[in-house]
Amino acid sequence: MNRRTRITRHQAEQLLDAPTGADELSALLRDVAATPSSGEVPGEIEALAAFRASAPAPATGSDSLMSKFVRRAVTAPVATAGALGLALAGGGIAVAASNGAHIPLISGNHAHPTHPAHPTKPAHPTHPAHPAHPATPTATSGAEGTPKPSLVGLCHAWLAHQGTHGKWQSAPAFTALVTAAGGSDNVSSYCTIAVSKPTPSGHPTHPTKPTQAASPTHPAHPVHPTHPPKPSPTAHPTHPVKPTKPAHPTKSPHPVKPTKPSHPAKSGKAAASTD
Amino acid sequence: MDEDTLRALLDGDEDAFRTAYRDIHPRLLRYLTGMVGVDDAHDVAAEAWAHAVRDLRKFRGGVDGFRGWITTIARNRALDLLRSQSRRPLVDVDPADHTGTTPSAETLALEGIGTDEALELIRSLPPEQAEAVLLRSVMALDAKTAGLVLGRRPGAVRTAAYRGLNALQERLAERAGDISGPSDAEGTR
Repeated sequence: MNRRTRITRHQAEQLLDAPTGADELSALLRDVAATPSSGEVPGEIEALAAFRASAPAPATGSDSLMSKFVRRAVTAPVATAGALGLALAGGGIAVAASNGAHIPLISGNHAHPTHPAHPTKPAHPTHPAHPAHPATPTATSGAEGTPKPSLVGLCHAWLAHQGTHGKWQSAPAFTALVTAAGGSDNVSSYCTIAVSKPTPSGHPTHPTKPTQAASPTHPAHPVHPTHPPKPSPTAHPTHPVKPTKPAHPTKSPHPVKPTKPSHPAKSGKAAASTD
Repeated sequence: MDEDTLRALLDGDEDAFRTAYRDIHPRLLRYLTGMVGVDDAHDVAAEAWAHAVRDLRKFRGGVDGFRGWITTIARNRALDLLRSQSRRPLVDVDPADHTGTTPSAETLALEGIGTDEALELIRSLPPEQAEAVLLRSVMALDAKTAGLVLGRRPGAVRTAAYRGLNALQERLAERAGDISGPSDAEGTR
C-alpha cells in the first residue's frame, strides 16, 4: 500500500482501465465499477416495452404488407399518437405534453431515417428529413378498436406491474399508453381488453414483422456484426422513395448529438484546473 | 455487451437490448447517483432510456460510442434536472450531511469500502474530477469518449481523472491513518 506515493498519469490511466491492484484505491474503483447484471435490472420491463414499440422489427417474412405499414407508422413516436387519432391536428403533442411527460423528441430535429413504405402515397416524398408529420393515412387506418402491437406490449408491461408500488406508472415508456387509454386511470381496463383482443397479426405479444427486409437478420440468432442498422428497403420497386438512408449519416462515434450536446457542466466553477 | 450485440440491438433484437440494458443500466445508475443523488437517479435513467430508444435509428457507431451516447443523453437530463432545481452537479452533497455514508476508518480497513461509500468518496471530489473519474471508471468510457460526453478534450479528461485519483488516494490514506493500530479488526470481525 503505497499510501503517500503519488500516482503518475500513466498509473492513473491503468487504474481507470483495469483496477487490479491490491491497494485501497484499486479496491474502491472496483467497487464502483458495476458489473453487468445477469438477472433482471430495475426498469427493464418498461425499457424493453419502449424498445419493442420503437425498434425496427426483426424480419421474418411472414406477415402481411399491411402489418408492416402499420408497424412502420407506429414505430415513429409521433406517429404513435397519430395512429391513435390524437395528433392529427397537432393536438397529440399538446395532449402528451400536458400529461407531464418529457418529450424530448419534439424539440430536436427528428430525422427518422426512413419512411419506406407508404401504400397509398408518401406523405412527404420530397422532405424525407421532416418526419414530424408522419401522420399518413396508413397511420390511422385500422387504428380504431384494435390496439397496436406496440401498445399491447406496453399493456403487458403495465399489467405485470399492477399491484406493485412505485412511480412506474409515470415512466416515460408508458406515456403513449396512458395517452392512448385516455389517462392512467383507464389504462388497466384498456389493457385488459387490449391483451385479450387479437391484433391484426394475431399475436398480441409479438410485434408484427415486416413482410420482407433486405437485412437478413434472424431474430433468434443475430449474428451480423458487419451489418449496419440500415432500415430495409421495401418490396415496392414502383415506389422508388429514396430516403432509405438516414438524413444525417454521420460516421463519428458520436454522430447523434442529443439536443444539447455540450453543457458547460459546472457553470459556476469554471475549468480552472483544466491543464 | 459486444459489437455483435449492438448490431443486433440496432436491428431490433430484444435479447440484445436486454443484454445491453443489463450491462449499461447499473453503470448509468451509479453515474447518475454521483450526478444527482440516488433519489433522482432512477428517474433520470428511465428518461434517458426512453429517449435513447426513441432515437435509436439516429445512432451510428460502436459499443463505446453507444455507451457514450446514452451517457450523454442521461447527463443532459441530469443537468436539466439540476438546473431546474437550481442545484449544481455533485457539489450539493456534503458527506457530513449524510450520517453513515462517510466511510469509517474501520470500514476502510476491511476489504473494500462498499459501493455507496466509494461513490460518496468520489462525490466529495471537486466536480470536474469527480465526473471524470465516474465516466472513466463507472461508465467504463475511455478518455476520448468521456471527452465527447463532457465536451472536452481527452487530455483534459485525463488530467481531471488523474488529479481525482490522487485526491482519492490521499483521502483513503488519511482515513486509513486514523486507525493505524487495529489491523486485527479484520480478523476479529
